[in-house]
Amino acid sequence: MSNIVLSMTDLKFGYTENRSVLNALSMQVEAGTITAILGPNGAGKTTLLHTILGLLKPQSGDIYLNNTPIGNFSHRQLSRLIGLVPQAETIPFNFSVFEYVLLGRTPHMGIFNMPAKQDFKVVNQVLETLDLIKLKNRPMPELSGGERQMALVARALVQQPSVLLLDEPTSHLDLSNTGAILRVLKDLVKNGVTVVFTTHDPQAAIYSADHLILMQQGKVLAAGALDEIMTSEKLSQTYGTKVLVEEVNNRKVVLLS
Amino acid sequence: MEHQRIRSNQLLFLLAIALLIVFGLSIFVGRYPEPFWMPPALLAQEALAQKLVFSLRLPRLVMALLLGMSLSACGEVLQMLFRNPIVEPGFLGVSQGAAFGAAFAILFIGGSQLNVEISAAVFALLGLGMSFLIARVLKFGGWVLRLVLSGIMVSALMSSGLGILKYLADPLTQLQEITFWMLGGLWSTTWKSVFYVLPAVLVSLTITFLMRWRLNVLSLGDATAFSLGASAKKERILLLVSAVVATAAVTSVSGIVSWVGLIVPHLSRRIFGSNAQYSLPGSLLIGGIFTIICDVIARTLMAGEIPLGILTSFLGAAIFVALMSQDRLKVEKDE
Repeated sequence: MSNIVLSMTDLKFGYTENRSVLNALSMQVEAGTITAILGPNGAGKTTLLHTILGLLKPQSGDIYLNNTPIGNFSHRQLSRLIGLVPQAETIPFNFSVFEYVLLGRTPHMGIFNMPAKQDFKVVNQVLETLDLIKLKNRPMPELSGGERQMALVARALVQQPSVLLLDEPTSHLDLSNTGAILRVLKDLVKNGVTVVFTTHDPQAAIYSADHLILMQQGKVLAAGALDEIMTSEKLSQTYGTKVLVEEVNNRKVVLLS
Repeated sequence: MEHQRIRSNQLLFLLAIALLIVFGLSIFVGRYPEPFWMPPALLAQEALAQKLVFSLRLPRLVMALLLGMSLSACGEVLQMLFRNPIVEPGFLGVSQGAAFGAAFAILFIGGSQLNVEISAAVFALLGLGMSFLIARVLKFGGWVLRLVLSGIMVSALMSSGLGILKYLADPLTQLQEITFWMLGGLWSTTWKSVFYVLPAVLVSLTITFLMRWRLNVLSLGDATAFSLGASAKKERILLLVSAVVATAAVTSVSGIVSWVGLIVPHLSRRIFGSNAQYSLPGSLLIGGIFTIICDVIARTLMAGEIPLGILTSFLGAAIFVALMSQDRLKVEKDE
């Protein structure tokens, strides 16, 4: 693979000394592609994203962003390069959609600063692109699940990151909203953003991803182009149950057998 | 959004004007020369009126303003940092610590006003410090939960200590003094006490005001705040300490004045929405207005002083019920 934007080697992390969540994990992400990280619940997918972000410090191993060790970036620099769409965020206050998305501009503001014209402009553009502009004055708690997820994506996009990490972006959504989110991700890639998302739903990966990484118990079981990796054998191994991958109309379909 | 920002700024401007008017009028309200109103002409002519206004009413008004602003700002900071709209400034052992400190001074080091104030401030900060330390050693839950739990523990510890002191106190003199202090009031305010709390309050409120955008960010939780480039831990501690230090300073003079820190941020969010960029200055202004009005009633309505804490609780609770029984209560819905 050429043009690697993000790479990890021998990454090890555990919340306690003797129980590791990430175990000698190595992987690479190519620039301008969508990589899906697929694995069962508890495989360490969220932990991996939080480690890439710098929120969790690995016990050993290296993370490189644009061929530079991640430790060489300041926290604020990193927050302009990597955006996170967290899994199911609690929003305890009644922010409007616009205010909420505007919070994504924080990496571009000093600690004592308030948002300025440029920030409003970026937010308006992103809201237009994601078709959220008509909701911009609505309180966040009043949104539907799909709208809410789209607002979370919008907030990460106004950071103007070159790498976007999404944690289970489709896990609570119905089919049409899942499709909408995944289409947004495909559009992002056309604009040069690199997308990495975790999911436990193989169908979401098939619909959108270029590359697939299969994770199990903190390790990478297999990684590569989606077509090569998405096989009955490898998925069965990943999930620890018998899974069939069939082709229907030239598209892969995953079935529990 | 543009429209909304202009509206918020206009409202803040109006509130600032209202605060100035309330402050200005309050100078002339009191029980001299007769109940309720002093003609401004009298102030120009009479030496006694001037002395009364400049050495009694004015410092007290300034203190009421500082008290209201500090409690409201602290309430909003804690509510947003703890992501919990029912938190109030006394939360981290501060109020109970101050009460214990005041009782301690009344019993053991002579209840002179300065002794009581210093002792209350010291124990209020001690309460905060203990809450932090205990939160660090707890092996349970996340940071916010640990801090909340240790705040409850420290408050209980301080109030049990207070119970012992009350039990030991002379019921005819000391116990009355303790009780009266705990009801809260500004009757003892002098210029000296104003200047003694002013630096702490100014520094703390300035930091809080300047960092109000970060409050929004920190209210989203650690992972998100981190991904937006905020050093959640450091910024949270800076905001917490500034807010609580201001509260400890004013509480050492006023005694326990409850409900302001709970109700005012709610009121402000009703007007300005949750964005702290506007709701925090809103809280500062509304808190000042509310507390000045309560204190004017406290010293004017009856021949004897009504403890301020009683009035703020009474009016605060009444407003809270009115506010919460209105429709459109999606404000702090947690999903």
